[in-house]
Amino acid sequence: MTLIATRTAPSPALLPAAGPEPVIETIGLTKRFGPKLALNQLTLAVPRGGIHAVVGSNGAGKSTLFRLLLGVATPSLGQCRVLGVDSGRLDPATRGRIGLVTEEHTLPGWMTVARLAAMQRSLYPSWSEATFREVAGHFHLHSGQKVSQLSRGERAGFTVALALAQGPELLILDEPTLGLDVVAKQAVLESLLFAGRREDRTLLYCSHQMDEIERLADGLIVLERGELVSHSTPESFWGRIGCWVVAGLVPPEVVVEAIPGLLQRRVVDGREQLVVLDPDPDFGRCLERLGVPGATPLPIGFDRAVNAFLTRNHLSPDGAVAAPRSH
Amino acid sequence: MRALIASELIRYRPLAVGVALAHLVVLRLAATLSPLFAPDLAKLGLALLVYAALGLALGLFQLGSARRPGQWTFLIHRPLSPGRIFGALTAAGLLLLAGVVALPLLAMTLWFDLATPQWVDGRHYPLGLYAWGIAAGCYLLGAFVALARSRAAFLAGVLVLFFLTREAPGLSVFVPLLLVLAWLGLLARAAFKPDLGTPLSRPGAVVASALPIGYALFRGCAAAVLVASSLGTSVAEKGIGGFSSFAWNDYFPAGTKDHVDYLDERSALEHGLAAADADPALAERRRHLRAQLPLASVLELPPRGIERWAERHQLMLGDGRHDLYDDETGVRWSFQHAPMLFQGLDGRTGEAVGWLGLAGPVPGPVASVPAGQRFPEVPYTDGERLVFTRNKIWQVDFTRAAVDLRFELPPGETLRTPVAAAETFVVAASDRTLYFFEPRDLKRPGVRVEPSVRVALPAEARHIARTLVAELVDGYLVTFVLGRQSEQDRHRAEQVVVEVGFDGRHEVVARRPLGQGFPAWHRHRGFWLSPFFQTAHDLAWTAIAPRRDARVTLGEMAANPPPSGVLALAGLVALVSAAGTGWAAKRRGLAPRQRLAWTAGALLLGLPGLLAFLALTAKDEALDLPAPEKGRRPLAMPRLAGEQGGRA
Repeated sequence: MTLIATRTAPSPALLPAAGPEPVIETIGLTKRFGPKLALNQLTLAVPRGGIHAVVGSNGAGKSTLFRLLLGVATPSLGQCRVLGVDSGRLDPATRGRIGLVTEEHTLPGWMTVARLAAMQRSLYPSWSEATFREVAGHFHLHSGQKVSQLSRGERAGFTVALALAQGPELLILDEPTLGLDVVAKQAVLESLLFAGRREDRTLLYCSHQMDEIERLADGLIVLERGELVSHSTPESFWGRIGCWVVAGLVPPEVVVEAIPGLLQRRVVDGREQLVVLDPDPDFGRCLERLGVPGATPLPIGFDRAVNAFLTRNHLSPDGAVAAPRSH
Repeated sequence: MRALIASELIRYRPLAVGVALAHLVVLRLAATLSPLFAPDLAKLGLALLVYAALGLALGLFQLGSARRPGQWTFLIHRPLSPGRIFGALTAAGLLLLAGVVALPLLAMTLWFDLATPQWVDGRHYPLGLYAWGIAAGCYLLGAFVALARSRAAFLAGVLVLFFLTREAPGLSVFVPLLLVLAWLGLLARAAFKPDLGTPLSRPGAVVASALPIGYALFRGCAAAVLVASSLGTSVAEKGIGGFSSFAWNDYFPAGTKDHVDYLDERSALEHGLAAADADPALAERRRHLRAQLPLASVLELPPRGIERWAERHQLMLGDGRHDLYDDETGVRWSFQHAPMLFQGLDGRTGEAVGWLGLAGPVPGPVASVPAGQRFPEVPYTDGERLVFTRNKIWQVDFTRAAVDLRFELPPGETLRTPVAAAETFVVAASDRTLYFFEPRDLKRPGVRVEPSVRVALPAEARHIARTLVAELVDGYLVTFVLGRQSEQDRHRAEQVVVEVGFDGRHEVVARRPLGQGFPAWHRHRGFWLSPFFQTAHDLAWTAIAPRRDARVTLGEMAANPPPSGVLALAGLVALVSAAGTGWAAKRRGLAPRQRLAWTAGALLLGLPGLLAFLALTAKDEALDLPAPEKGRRPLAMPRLAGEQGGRA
């Protein structure tokens, strides 16, 4: 997997010298809204194919990145290319190659399912009726039903069906399962996994549901306060985060800042768990030296690992959760 | 694109059908209350305002709802160019307005034409198109306001005001309408871009938006200067709180035109007679005349009279009456342009009772009226008995079933004030002469009257601001206040008093030059604020209102430039505006070429140029980084060493 991510000044030398052109390529991409810096010097290349998850806490810049990719926002600085085209100059043909599913599942509520599908069919030359029927079939949509009468799950399914039927090379999904029940969420994920996954198709997927990401994603892009902090596979990211459980509680005289790579502290059944980034093989001894004896490693789930990473800055020296920092 | 149009039509279909039906019902009800095709100006204006409001509301709502973040991305992100998407939305909007505004009007016109005795002129049919044009213009304005980044976009509505000028004659009223539609369409299209957060960037779009917005700001600034100057004067004279009781006629010194403007009729006549004169005989004569004034009956003629005459086949946008009402029979006679006759409709039954031409009423079809009995041009009426064209006045006598020519002006003269009556005398004014009539002559039916006295106007009619007539023991005393355009020093202001004998002899007994009550900076406020906009305004007014008497000719504009002090002030304001624009443009991080263009624009446009710049650009494009956060410091971010995606 090609991984390019840096917050330093863009340098063409960092970009892949050979291989297929990335589907998404940003160089020093910066966007500010008034005093707020939403994206800061983002340099990123997403290769063709696979599902790439974008994670980050609220305000990390995910939606801004998507808006920049779709050309509905203009970079304050830097470049952004999608399917080889400057995102500010996306022509209709290129737009036809990019699908979009938003968290609001925004559709014209006054239209019927059949009429809206017919409208989209007339717009997209690569429309696949079979795909549409297959995906829409999971949600039991009736052609005469008005979009405004669809449940949230049905609307989400309809949106995904429309997006997949367009046959996009790049499909951008901005929290498509937000607010869905288990059944609807499952149906959407099934659609994405089985109908959406194609070799030549790239899915850029934003979600706060780490179980979904663990299940779907081939690549993981972590944004934080507008900056790219990681672009890797989920497995490699997960593999770098470990959890250690101590015999009791960390003594109050221990300076927690001195614990290398500490991401999260949590007390479970009277024993304190420490989630750590890039733990040393001798992390147990390291803790002992700091005055925390008896620490043993504990398996950690993907969702907890990512969440511990994303919330690490909320850890105050006394272990309490602090208010998130904003620009 | 057609699918998108269809989608929008489906969206608004129920609402549009409801509004169209309501429109039809209102039109039908209005037709039962008053003649639908001969409305007075207030009703017509109200209807046009409603159409304008409909268009504005649709534009604001349709594009306003489309620009919500989720909706906007769904709308714009499709394999269609933004131009085609915009075209589809506006085509749908304009079609809806056609269905809601034009179609009911057309249906009602057709119904009247085919199913009622009411005559329908060809000129009535384009009215639906005109109403639709007004609604469409406001729709495009609403779209521009909804899409534009700047809240000042609504100021572009000044363009819509051109619709309401009603100055263009006949069908040529569609020319300014189409121009304004094209302009507003261009603005709305320019604002319809994928990233709504960015300002307009194309030079043409920037200029097209800056000009109307700048003009609106120019008018606003001029009004603000006027209000501030007036308030300042009144406060300086009577202190805070004295504005409501401030008497301007006490403030302006005698001998100024503003002073005469505020005087009542009798005082204005006395003011004219108070002119200083070295000739003792003339002074004595004026004293004698002044002594009679307290007992004299005084009449003031309408200040402007008829400035524009209706054109044949023009839309129903004239500002005068074209109908007569016979209160004995209840028949309303409405003038129709195609036959050039009045059509009579019984107000109770709605039945047609015939046609009224120069030879009186003729029952039967229009074809039965001979060509010689038709009016030579579109006449105005006083609503009851009088009918007048440019140089003739007729009186309709319904009892005798006759139309009598009562008075005819000499060739080349045009009527301005058909009839103004005092207790003991009647006057009419043309553009050259003031005519006096004996009331007893007018009371004799069927008789052509001759004026007892003729008084030549002392100046072109368009310069006359007030005309006052007093009847004295042995004649009349007339005063003309000249200088309608004198505020900007384009004409001389003067008060002329003429003594008129019953035998027709008349003589100027006083000429009093009038000064100006306000200082030059107040009177020329438009010029020093923006010489460009003031000159453009004057030129456009002259071009659009070619027959309006109050216009200023190009020669007058060129021959009477503002005083040198005002020119210097205008130069100073332009320089300060340009410097301010350049400074603000640099602060806002504009590219050097844009800075130069805006600075040059402000130098040309003056203060409105600077204000338009501030309204159309914003500071948030500047890339100054935020200051470091104060307070608690978060834990250091772990390094993702060894990872390609790690922090450097």
